[in-house]
Formats: sequence, C-alpha cells, structure tokens
Amino acid sequence: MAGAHVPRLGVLWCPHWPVVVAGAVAGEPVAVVHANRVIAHSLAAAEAGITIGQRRREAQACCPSVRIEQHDPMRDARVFEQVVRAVGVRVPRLEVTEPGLLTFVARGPARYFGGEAAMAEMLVQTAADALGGTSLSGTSLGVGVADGRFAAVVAARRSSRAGRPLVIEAGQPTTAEFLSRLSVRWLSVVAGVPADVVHLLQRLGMQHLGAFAALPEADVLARFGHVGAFAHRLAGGGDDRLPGTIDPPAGMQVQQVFDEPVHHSDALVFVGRQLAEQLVGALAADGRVCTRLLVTAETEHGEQSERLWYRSSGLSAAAMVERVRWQLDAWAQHEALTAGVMMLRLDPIEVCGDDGVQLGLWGGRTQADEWAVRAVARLVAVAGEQQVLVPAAQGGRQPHDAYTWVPAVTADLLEPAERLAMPAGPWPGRLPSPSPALVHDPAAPLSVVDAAGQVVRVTARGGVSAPPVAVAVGGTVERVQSWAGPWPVEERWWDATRTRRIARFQLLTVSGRLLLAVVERGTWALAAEYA
Amino acid sequence: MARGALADNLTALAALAEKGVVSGAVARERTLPVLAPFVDLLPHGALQRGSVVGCHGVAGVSLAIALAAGPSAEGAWVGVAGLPGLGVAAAVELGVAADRLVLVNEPTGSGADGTRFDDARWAEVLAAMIDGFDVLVLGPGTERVRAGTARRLMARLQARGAVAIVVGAPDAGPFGTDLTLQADSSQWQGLGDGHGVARGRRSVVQVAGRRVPRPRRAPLWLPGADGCIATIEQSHGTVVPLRPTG
Repeated sequence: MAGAHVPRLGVLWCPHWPVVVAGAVAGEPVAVVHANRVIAHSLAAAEAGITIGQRRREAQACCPSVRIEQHDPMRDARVFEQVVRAVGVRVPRLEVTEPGLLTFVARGPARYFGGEAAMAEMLVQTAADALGGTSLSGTSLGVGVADGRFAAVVAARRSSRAGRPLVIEAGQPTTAEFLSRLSVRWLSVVAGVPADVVHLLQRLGMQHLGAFAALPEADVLARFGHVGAFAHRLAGGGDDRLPGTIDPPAGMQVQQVFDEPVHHSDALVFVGRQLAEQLVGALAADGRVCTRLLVTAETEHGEQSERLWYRSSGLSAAAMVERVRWQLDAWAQHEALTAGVMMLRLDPIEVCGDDGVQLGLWGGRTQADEWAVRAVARLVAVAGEQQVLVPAAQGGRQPHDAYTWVPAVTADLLEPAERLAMPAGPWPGRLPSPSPALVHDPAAPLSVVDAAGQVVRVTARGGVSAPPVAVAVGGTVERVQSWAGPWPVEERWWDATRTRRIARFQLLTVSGRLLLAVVERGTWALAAEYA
Repeated sequence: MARGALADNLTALAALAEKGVVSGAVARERTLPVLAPFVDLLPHGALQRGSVVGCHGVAGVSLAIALAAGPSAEGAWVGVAGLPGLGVAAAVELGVAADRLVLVNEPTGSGADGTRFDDARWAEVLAAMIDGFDVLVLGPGTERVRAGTARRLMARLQARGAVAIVVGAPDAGPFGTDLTLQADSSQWQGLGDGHGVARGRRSVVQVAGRRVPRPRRAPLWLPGADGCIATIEQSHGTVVPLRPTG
C-alpha cells in the first residue's frame, strides 16, 4: 500500500553546515554549541572524540584545541541562501528543511535532466559552484534520491560520506533493503524519533533497521505505542509522513496586502508575526499544527520570493516568524529589489494533528508562572538565548560573585531551588549588607586621587598612601565626602593562576553617590554602586 | 482664596476615591500589593495595574527594586530590561523573589556580542515582557525606544494589567509616568573618614502624579542595615509640606 503514495524526493545535504559557516578549514577542530550543547562539529573534532549533544566543557576536555562557536541560525540561513538560489534555478519548489538541507520533489527535474542519477550529478556540481571557495572542512556535498523523506535524507547523508550521489530505486522493497543494513540510530538522528526509544531498541538487540522492520506491526504498536509504529513504518521504507497528516482545506492561507509598499524588513516580520499567530490560532482551533509552510512575498513590481519550509514537529508561530525573517533577509540581500513589498502570504501546505502538551491538573504552578514561562520562551525567540537571563547563586566575596546571571534556556524556571541554593559559606571578607543595587561586571574604569593629585595607593601593610579626595568616574570628577577601607581580600591563594589580591573601598561623593571601588595591582576600578 | 478652595475640593475627591468610589474587590483586582513602607505613600496603598511608575533620584534603582518587591513576594514575576547591572543580592535583600526574576540583557554591540536592539526589537521584547510578567523594571537602556512605540506598548500594558517601573532621570525616557517617586536627600549612615562601613541610607521619598493632588513624602531607610526598606519613625511630628500662598 505504501509504495504508491510515498513521494519520490531528492535531498541535498551540506554536511556540518553550521561548522562550514563558522569558517572551519579542513583539519581544524570546530564545534558549534547551542544552549551549552554541541550541535555540530567538524570532522577533525569528531576524530578527537567530540559528539553531538556533548556539553561544551566535555567537548573542550576531549579536545582542548577545539574552537567553540555559538550557534547562529540566522547566519546559517543567510549563507545557505546562495546554494538555495543556485539550485532553485534548476529545481522548482525547493523546500529548505533547515539551513544545510534542501528537499525537493524529484520526478519533474529527473525527467528534465534525463534521469535521477544525471540530475543528482548536476545538483552536486551546481551547489559546489554556488559555494565557490567556501571550504566544506574536508567533507563533500551529498545528494540522495529515494522514496520518502526519511530514506532520501539518509541517502543524502550516506552519499556525502561516499563522495558520490546515491539513488535508491523506487519501490518499497528496495527502500527497505537499503535501510535494512543501517543502524537504528538514524531514526533519532534524521526522523526525530526520541533517543530513548532508539536506545531501547538497541538494548533489545535490534542494531539494524532491518531487524526492527521484521517485527510484526501489531506487536510494535502494542509495545512501543504510536511513536514505535511510526518508527517501524520508517524502518520498513513506508510512508514517513506523521500520522494524521493531511492537506489542509483550501482557504486556510493568511495574507496581508499593504496599502503602502513596505521597505523595512522588520516591519514585514512584525506583520509576519501577526499572520503567523492568526494561522497558528486557526489551525489550533482544529487541533492541528502546520508542518509545511509556503511563505510568499511580492513587491510592487512583481518580484516574488517563494519558499517552502518544513519542520517535522510542527511550526509554532515563533518558528514561522523566524523562517519569514530568514527568507526576507536573504531575499533582500541577494536580489536588488526595485520596489517595496506589497504582499506577504503564509500558506499551510501540510498540517497534522497536534499532540500538544497537557499540563498537570494540579501542582505548584500558578497562572502567573505559566504566563511567565511562555513569555520567557517568546523572549528567547525574539531577543536571543544569551540575552534572556535568570539569577543563579554561586557564592563569593565580591558583589558580582554572590549571584550570577545564566541563560534562561539552560535553567529550569519552575524548579529553581537547586539554581538558587547559596553554596555554604562562610565567605570571610564579604561586605555586610546592604548590597549594592548596581553591579559592574566587568568593573568600570575609575580613578581616585589624593589632595596632591596623585593616584591613591594601597600600602603593603593595608593602609593608604594618602586619604582619597576626588574620584573620576565616567567622565565626571567628584569630591569624596567620606570613605572607608581598604578591606583586603586574598582569594584562591592556593592556585597560582587564579589567585587575586584586591582591596576594596567605599567612597561617598558629595552628590550622594556611594561607590564600591576595588584596587588590584595598583589599578582602581568601579565594582558596584549603591544606587 | 479660590485656589485654596479648589485644592480642598481636590483633596476631598481624592479622599473619596480612596475610600469608597472604587469597591474594595475591584480595587484589589486592579492593584498589586506593595511593601508596608509604601502603603501610606501610594494612592490606594498599592500599585495600580496598567500604570507606569517613575523612580528617580540618587536612590532610584533601590526604590524601583523595593517597589517591585511587594508584588514579587506575592507571586508576581518581575522582568527587568535595560538595566544590565542589577544587583541580585540587593534585590533579594529588598524582598524580590530571585526565582521569579528575569533579566533581558541588550547586546553591547561590540565584538561577537551581537548588535544592539533596534526599535522594532525593543517593541517585541517589551511586548513579550508585558504579556508574561506582572511587573516590569525598565532601566536607562530602554530610553532609546521611540515615543510612538512606547505609546503602543503602554496601551498593551493597560490592557494586560501589568505595571512598569521606570528608572532613570525624570522625563528622560519615552514612557509617560502616571506616578513619580523621587528619592532625594540621601544620607548614608555608618561611613566615616577612613573608617566604618555603610550601614544604611536615610532617604526622603516624595510621591507625585496625576492621582496625587498633594505630593506626599516620607523618610525611609532605603536600604536599611539589613538591606531591607523601612520607614524612619519620626520623633518630632509629621513633615508638613509648604503651601503656596497668595
């Protein structure tokens, strides 16, 4: 039954795309991290033992010379656009599954170029030309053609390793045979099957997809539930669309036609957000979520940008907006647009049932907590992961030591006890409360002089060379009204590289500002302010 | 003569509004609780949902944190933007719950840190914060938001019922304030000439605004020796503000 309905797909795969964008040259260990976990690495890094999903520290422990780069999907998408454009000339209706991975329906182009193998060869050449001098850090492009998304992506990734395109003959038996010798781990790597399910399969002795596919379907459903049945269908070369996937009824598309041409991409993205929320809301009313989205933008002069976007787990409003932004930025960058944008349209091509997340009926969470957690997720999408922070206790003697800010994505917002447990003190030399309300980390430059205009020094016996009289901070000079200190602190004297000897002062200026200044190796700095 | 009568009427109206015009239940739903030292200072003894409160003066940051501490202690989330150096230890001492504190840090725009937020980005960030948090503390970093954007955001704030506490110089930012708290004449205690340590700050907080016909003022420990805010007991009667004559 499956063979007839499974679409014939081609996939172009640029291996380790985030690493390529990060500018890795062949032989250089590079790892791209996202939320403190490795999400991509170069071949050299893999040889040193770095794996996907490792913590940053673990990666650095495996390979101290590794270059760590932060994940920047925006940049990945922007650079990938050159490949998309080059391939898009040859192949219509491209779908950017993610930066580095292109999917398209193979039938038409294969006929046009005289066979699937010829088409695949041509695509490799086209993409390589588009990349020009970009170093692929020692790997090669992969093109795979097969029945269904799963087999096609696997084929493309295998072809990248083999160094030549890989075409799997049409039909369910050949697809199943191709997959049968491969590891079951492909299920989690490519198809998003939970890693614990795959792990369980391995512990049950099924190392290869063939062994898993040989199980009776009913038994798999009984033992592993719907996730297992889905994985089983994939392993057997069957239809790999999510259960409940349908083509949405016509008229679900949302669009905005502007009265005035819009020239600013931010304004368009803002409209895109409203459209996305509208679309997601309409789909959610049916209990559905969009997995394939067509984004179209058109200028006043008829220039058009059309892209298909896919996400197997469904596109949230934030994810849609992100893709709209990628598309518009790349469009504006690669094409000299002659007019402002007149129309923006979001068209759901494929929707499927939304599993959703059911909240516990009772528990410690309040409505305010739910709202806040949702807002934090939204803020991360808008402002970036490194920009949204929550406090974590770490303990220490300096004002910026007691608490530190950590990215909210790395913290459990609703279970904060562990994060905020202050490490057992005592911290001798810690200043008594009140604590300063403004902390400068890193410390701001500051200059403190005595009555003779000389910089005040701290003597070896813990005194001052002369009482401080004036302080210069941020371009203004103020007279010191009263002061106290120095309070010396010697930290980590047992560790030659991290040891610090500092002296602290409180300086009250005549305008009422109370500053916490530190002196380290004769240099003054403003550590905090009691604002 | 006429001006005095008008002022008296305004005072009476304000007193009415405080007593009975707004029913207690509605008032509670439309307000957020504050710490005890603020109860006598603020109209209705609470923060009005949907309002913008400005905190100015040398103790402005401490004042803003102390204002946010009341709702925070009652379960509200506090979102901070444009104030990258907020001292968490001070906030915790003043009564803010650290587990419900979120900071949005604008990139500095130098090196690999990313570009600074433009107006549209600020609009999105602040809109998300308004939707999710009951109390917003907006520092000088948000002063670059355009006036039009700020107006739209304030409309959203009113619809959602959050409270924005703006820190910075008076009239510096784009957010028009309903209520301003000015913390001036700060006197640090405990600091000598080369000895001692700062133990607390005496500060006179003055409240003014549309709903406050006469500026109210009270001397506060901001913060006190334990880092908390507290009212300074007066030994010589209440301070009577000067009345305009003629």
